[in-house]
Amino acid sequence: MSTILMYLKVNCPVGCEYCFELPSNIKDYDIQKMIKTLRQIYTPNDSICLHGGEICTVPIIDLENILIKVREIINNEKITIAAQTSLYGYTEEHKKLFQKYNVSLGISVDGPPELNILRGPRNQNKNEIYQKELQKNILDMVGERGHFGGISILSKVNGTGENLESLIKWALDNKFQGRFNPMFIPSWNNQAKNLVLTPNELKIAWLRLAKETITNPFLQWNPIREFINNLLGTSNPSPCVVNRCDYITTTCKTIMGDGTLARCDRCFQDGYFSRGINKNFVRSEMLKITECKGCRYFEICGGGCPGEGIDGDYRHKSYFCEAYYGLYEYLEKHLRGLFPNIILAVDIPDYYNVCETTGNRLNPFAKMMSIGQQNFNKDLSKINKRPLECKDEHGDHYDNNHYNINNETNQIEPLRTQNRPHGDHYDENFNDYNINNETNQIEPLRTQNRPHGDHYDENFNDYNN
Amino acid sequence: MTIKNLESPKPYTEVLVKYGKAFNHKIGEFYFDVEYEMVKKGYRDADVFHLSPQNYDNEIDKIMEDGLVFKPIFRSEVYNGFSHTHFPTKSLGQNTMVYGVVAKNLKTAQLFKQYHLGNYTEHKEIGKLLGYPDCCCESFTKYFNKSFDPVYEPAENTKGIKKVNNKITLPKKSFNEQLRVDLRYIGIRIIPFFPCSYDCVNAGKVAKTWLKVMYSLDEKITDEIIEYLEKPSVWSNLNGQVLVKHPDFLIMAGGYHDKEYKEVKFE
Repeated sequence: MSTILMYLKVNCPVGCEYCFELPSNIKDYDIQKMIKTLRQIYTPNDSICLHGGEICTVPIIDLENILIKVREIINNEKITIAAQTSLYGYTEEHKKLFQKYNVSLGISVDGPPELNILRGPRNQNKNEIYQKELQKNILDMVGERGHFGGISILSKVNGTGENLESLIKWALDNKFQGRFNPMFIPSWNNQAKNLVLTPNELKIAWLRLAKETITNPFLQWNPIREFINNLLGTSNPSPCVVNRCDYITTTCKTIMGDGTLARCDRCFQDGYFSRGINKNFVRSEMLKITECKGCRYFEICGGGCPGEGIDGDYRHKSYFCEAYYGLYEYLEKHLRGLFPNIILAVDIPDYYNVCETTGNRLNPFAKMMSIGQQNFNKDLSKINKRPLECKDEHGDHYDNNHYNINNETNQIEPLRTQNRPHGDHYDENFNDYNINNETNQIEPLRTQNRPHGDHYDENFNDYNN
Repeated sequence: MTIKNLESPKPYTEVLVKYGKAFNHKIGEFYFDVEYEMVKKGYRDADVFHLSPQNYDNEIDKIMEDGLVFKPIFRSEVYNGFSHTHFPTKSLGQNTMVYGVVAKNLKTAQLFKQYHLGNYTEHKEIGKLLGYPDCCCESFTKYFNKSFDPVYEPAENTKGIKKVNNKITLPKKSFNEQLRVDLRYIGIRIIPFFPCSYDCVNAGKVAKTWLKVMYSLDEKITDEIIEYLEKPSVWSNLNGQVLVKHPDFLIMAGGYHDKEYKEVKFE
């Protein structure tokens, strides 16, 4: 399960201040070669995202050509193709095309025009026109769908004090659903480094966003929701940056314009794009006994994004460690405050190996459910059957259930493992399970890889009841 | 637990080639042949040899045809990538190999084994049997106490270096490129040992002999190796992982635990 980024065009005319691509290293695109590579690597659980530079500046004919071929490969019209865009160059033609091929857009926008100033053309007049059009397009989307999905990059411009409040107000007013990522600056871009929030500033920003999120069920703001899920252990740690992303292979796969298969675009900063063959866990294993030794949240963090390593070195833990820790700590306190008997991933020794690498899932409510099980009515207990019946695995810790036992085969079953991607795009399908009306069983939905970074998939509902 | 006692990472080596460049993976295999050839041609007394149970008949046959002897030392698990240690095992199966020595005669092979299996490994004596200069055998014994992968220590011992904290820069003409060991994780090397310094005269003489044998085996690959060694690179070790940034590729390999970041820059 991977996120596959199609790097259509990187020689981008937009000119955002903190762009981390290195266009001089990247050749123009060859659709046939890109599709050939996609055909070789695609599996049904992968998610595909058109990415790289600004896709709306790719000629419509090429864009349609690639969408036709991607659709052929996916061979399932219900599955969306994601595309990450700043909407620069977006026209009615694009709108029709994206509707025709079931493309869900993730909008890269950092707030209202006055906070989105790092994005778009550097020329002031052009930038003003761009901001105006962008906000209009966003309003149109909200008008049509009731929300819009995207990625907002937190920086010195929008991530502190009153500006953060303005960002939040804008996000609420515009029904923004998506991701608030810390700004990533490649090692070669010294000019933009002063725009990056300090770890403490990011922590404060994330906690403020978390405060908003946990009191508003409508908000699917990440990484807050993802971090709650990580604590609950209901899916693989997400986004990819906390799921032991390996700098050699990376969770995310990038298909370059010439068809070369590369690593996550956050690794491009050093100019070595190619990827290794075998995933290894060396970085996280080493961090576990060195820089992250004894960290309460290591099992659901793994040291964070290798691309964010301190001093630009992937072997270090993330520069934003304080923010990761702070957000987990805040959310853990709230979860335990609401549910004193809850079992969280941090309660399971060696959680990642025990649950994540085996595909077994934690049932965070098992203890509460076993206490109150006798009060359940018949139907409800049936619905909850799978997560309730688990193996007592961890002796002196919590004698709770991390596995499923299939009643027919008496076998321990791994629960659904879902790979949530990271970074710069966003998939907002926020329901991972389905209750089958006929069997009344909880069923995993299609395993869709949740990507990272700079794109956003705005399918709001992934249900099929 | 001290940093020295921390478990080293499992062996691994990855080479990520720069966009648009290619890397000849035959280089890695080539150097094994060179090491063997140096014994066969009488330039040194012995060489370590990994005998594969799946191919032992052919390998033994070749060793005997070449008028050499093989002496097993221990059985080890097979590993992928670069490793600073072996993984002794009792079994002998698909995932094992026999670590041993090939030598020009049985007496030398026995001596080698004895130095290996004594109360402590006699690095200095083993080094001599492998044809390494005395000064380098001497220094290795000291360096190895500090690091399983002493790339940094010879740099410290080289004249004309610039050192800031634990970052050493070797200006272009301060070192002999043929003595570089920072790219050996993927087989790029002329000498098979750690020199006492990167300007060691004795090691330089040994390097010339090795180079001669390398050219006799494969001129093209040898030229490729030299070309890589002539380019600048930055080697570093951090949190048990080695990273080498070279203009043509990135090498990532298992390293060793150290309290501090260490870096060597070959200009």
